[in-house]
Parts: sequence; structure tokens; C-alpha cells
Amino acid sequence: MAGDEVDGEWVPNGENPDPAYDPGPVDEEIVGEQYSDAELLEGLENVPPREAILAGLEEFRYPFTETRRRELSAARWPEYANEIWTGVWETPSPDDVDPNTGELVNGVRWSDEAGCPVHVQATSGEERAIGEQAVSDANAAVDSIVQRYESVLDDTNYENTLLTAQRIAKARDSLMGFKDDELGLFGNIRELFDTHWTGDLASEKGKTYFGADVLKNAASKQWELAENLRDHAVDEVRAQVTVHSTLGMAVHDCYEAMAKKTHLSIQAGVLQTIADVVGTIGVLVKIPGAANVTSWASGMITKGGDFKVTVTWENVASTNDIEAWTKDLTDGVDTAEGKLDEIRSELQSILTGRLGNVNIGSTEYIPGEGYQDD
Amino acid sequence: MSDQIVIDNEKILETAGDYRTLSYEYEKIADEVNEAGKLRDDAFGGVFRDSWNDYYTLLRNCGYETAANLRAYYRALEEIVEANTLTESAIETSFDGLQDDLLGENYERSSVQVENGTGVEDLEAAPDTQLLDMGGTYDAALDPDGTHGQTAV
Repeated sequence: MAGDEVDGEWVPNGENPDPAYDPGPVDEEIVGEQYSDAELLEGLENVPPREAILAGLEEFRYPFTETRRRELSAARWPEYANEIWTGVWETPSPDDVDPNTGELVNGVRWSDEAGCPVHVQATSGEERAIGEQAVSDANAAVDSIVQRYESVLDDTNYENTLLTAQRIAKARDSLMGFKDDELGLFGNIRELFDTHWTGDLASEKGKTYFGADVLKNAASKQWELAENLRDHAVDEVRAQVTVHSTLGMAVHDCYEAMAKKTHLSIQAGVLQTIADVVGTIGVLVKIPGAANVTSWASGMITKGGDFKVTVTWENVASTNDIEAWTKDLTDGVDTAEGKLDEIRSELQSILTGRLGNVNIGSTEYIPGEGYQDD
Repeated sequence: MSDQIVIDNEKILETAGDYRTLSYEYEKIADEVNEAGKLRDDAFGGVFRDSWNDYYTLLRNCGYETAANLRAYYRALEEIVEANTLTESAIETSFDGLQDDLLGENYERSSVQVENGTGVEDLEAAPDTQLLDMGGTYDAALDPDGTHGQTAV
């Protein structure tokens, strides 16, 4: 027969219930220090989040469009391709135009409708078609790149992973505290079973299922589970951070290479921020890739300030450059995704192997397990 | 008295109090583990997500069942003192009923699932210990998406 339930607590024989259990105040700062991976956290605040990388890709629409205008114009009038590619990239000043013919150079004039140099005899319809086609093609190219990046970045949210790792680490530390009998109660339990549990019908059962050593060992086993979960979560954070950093740098470096080949007055903006912060992360494993991207190694070094594009005629953009830049960017994703899959497969294999060694159906992991069945 | 365990009531109640404290301690741990898993669907990718989830579920069930066992045991000790039937079988009977109540009628202990051939990777996630405090019954109506309260930040 049980006593009365009062507020969910059993009250023996109508006595006053024990005071509520109070584990004492938790010092958040101390807890934070205990389970933070300092080295990882230090680098984390510099890792470009998904939004920054996608915002960086948005900056490709302008130079992609301007390049595509010339690609289409040069394809329409191939005999003037060189003049079209090397002509001004933005609305020309009067100084750039021949006052008599209105030509930029022989046979080529500026078109506001096309947004680029065109043949002097281009019709308004041709110019408009070039302008509209260029905008449409450039947007489609950037859209496809963005989608590819989203597909990889959607699968990775290192903030959630880090939080999970930190919380598991907190539980792990609590299990350690229990195992080490921080409350100092194991001695009393030992005394109960070793000294007081006597009589004809007294058995070893209580000690076997709820003895101090059982509690201690099971907490230790559960601590191992938590430790492995925490380790693997941190590995996942590292993998994701590497992917974010790598793709962030790939986007920046590709933009820089592209900017150098156009003579648009463009600034790297958010891309430079990515480059600056990624450059400060030294602990990460770099993922090689993006073959056509310039200065990959130097891109991991801290850079200062936004850059202005310096144009040289020898280094001007040309037909198929958009294709090449797109390939660089998507190659970066392919490499990152492949690496991520590889890391995760390895982690999965290790954890699955460990699962087989866990005997949850015994007091090895759960004190009292099987008590009522024995 | 010869058919009973020879023990001082004071001593057994004192130790029951220790188990009570330990059970609260473990509920706290089980809640921490539960808290840690709330974002797991949005924290891991690819094949790794499933293996981490399987492994995590083991720890969660271990913590939950440990907390329930400790609570059932201290209550069982208190009950036999109150009933003045200090026998192992009385503890067992009391423990059995209490544990069932705490875990909830639909909860199948991990060991039983494993015994019935359920692979470790297929273990159901344990209900929250907060639910344990309310009687241990997992209420699907309060959890329409079946995520046990797991939502991304």
C-alpha cells in the first residue's frame, strides 16, 4: 500500500515531504568553459555562414551580365570581336568617342540598349536582343550556381552541430560527476548492502542491481557514449567549417580572377570580408580544388581592405569565360561535397562499429536493469 | 522476524533518501541528454546523421531508464518500510509496479526491444523525463510532428 500522492511526490505515512531537491546554482560561465572547444570556437567566429557565401554569389550577376553582353555581341559580329571585347565596359565619356562618326573604334560604337560595344550598323532590334539575352543568360548561370551551393550548404549547419556538441559535453561532464560520486552518497549505499543487509531472506540482489559499484560503472559506460557522441559531433563541426571556409574562399578567388579580366569598377564587398575572415583560420584542413581559381594558397592568408579592379588589355575577358568561371565555382562545390561525404562515411562507420559493442540490456549500462525479471 | 531482512528502518530510509537524491541527479542528466539531441536532425548530414542518431538514442534511453529505475527503487524501499514487510520479494513487487508507472504503459525498455530482436539502430527514442514526471505517458497529441520537441533554432 502506497501513501498519498501530493503534488506528484509520494509522502511516506503522511509525514512532511522532503524539501525539494535543489542541485544548486549553475554558473553558466564555468559550464561554458568546461565544454567549449577553445581552438574550434576561436576559428568559428570567422567562418563565413551560409548567407554570406550566397550573398557573395549574388555579386556575380553584374560582371556575368557585362561579360555575356560582349560574348553575344562578339558572336554576332565576329570580325569585330577584338574591338568589342576591348572596347569600354561602361557608358563611354565623350573623350572615348570619335566626334565625327560616333565610333569607339573603327566599325564599333557604344549601345545603351545592348549595354556594350556593337557594330556600327547594328539595328535597334539586335541591340535590344543582346541586352535582354545577356541579362537572362547571366541570371540563369548564377541561379544554377546558387542552387548548387544551396544544396551543399543546406545540409550543413555548424551552429546547430556546435550547440549539440556543447550540450552533449555538458551531459558527459554530469555523468563524470555522478561516476566520481560528487554528492558523496556511494559510501552510505555500500554500507547498507555490506553491513546492514542481513537475514535469512536477504540476498545480494540489491547490491547486484543497485550497488554503488553498479551505479559507478554504468555512469562510466554512459560517459563513454557521451564522449563518443561529442567527439563525432565536433568532427562534423570541423568538416562543415572546412566546407564553409573553402567555398567562401572559392567564391572570393573566382570573383577576383573574374574581376581582373573585366575592367568593371567593381569591389569585392562581402566577398572580401569572406577572404579576410577565412584568412585568419589556420587550423583547418584545406580542401584543394577549383583549378582555374587564382591564388588559392595566398587566399588563405589574411588580406586587408577592399580591392579595386585593375584592368590590363592583355588580360581581358573573352568568349567562354563565364563557362570557365562557372566550372570553377561548381568544381569547388563538387570537391567540398566529396570531401564531406568521405568524412561522414568514415564517422558513420566508426560509430556504427561501436554500436555493436553496447550491451544496453544489462546493468553494465543501466543500473537496476533486469531487476524485476531476475 | 526470521523471514525478513534484518535491518534498521532508519538505515533503510536514510539510504532510500540517498537513492532519491541520485534519481533526481540522473533525471537532470537525462534531461541534459534530451536537450542535447533536440537539434540533431539539423546538425548532421548524410549517412552520418543516422548513425549519430542511433548512438544518441542509446545514451538517451540509458539515461531515461536509469533515472526511472533509481526512482522506482527508492520508492520501493520506502514502501516496504512503511508496510513493514522487509523482504526482497516485496521490494521486487513494489519496484515492478512503480517502474511500469514511471516509464509509461507504452514504453518498451531497451533491453526488451533488444531481446525481441529489435536492432539497436531501430530503438525508439525515449520520451522526455518531463513526461516521466507527469506519469510517464507519451502524448502524441502534444507532438503532432512526432519529433519529441526537436526543432531547429
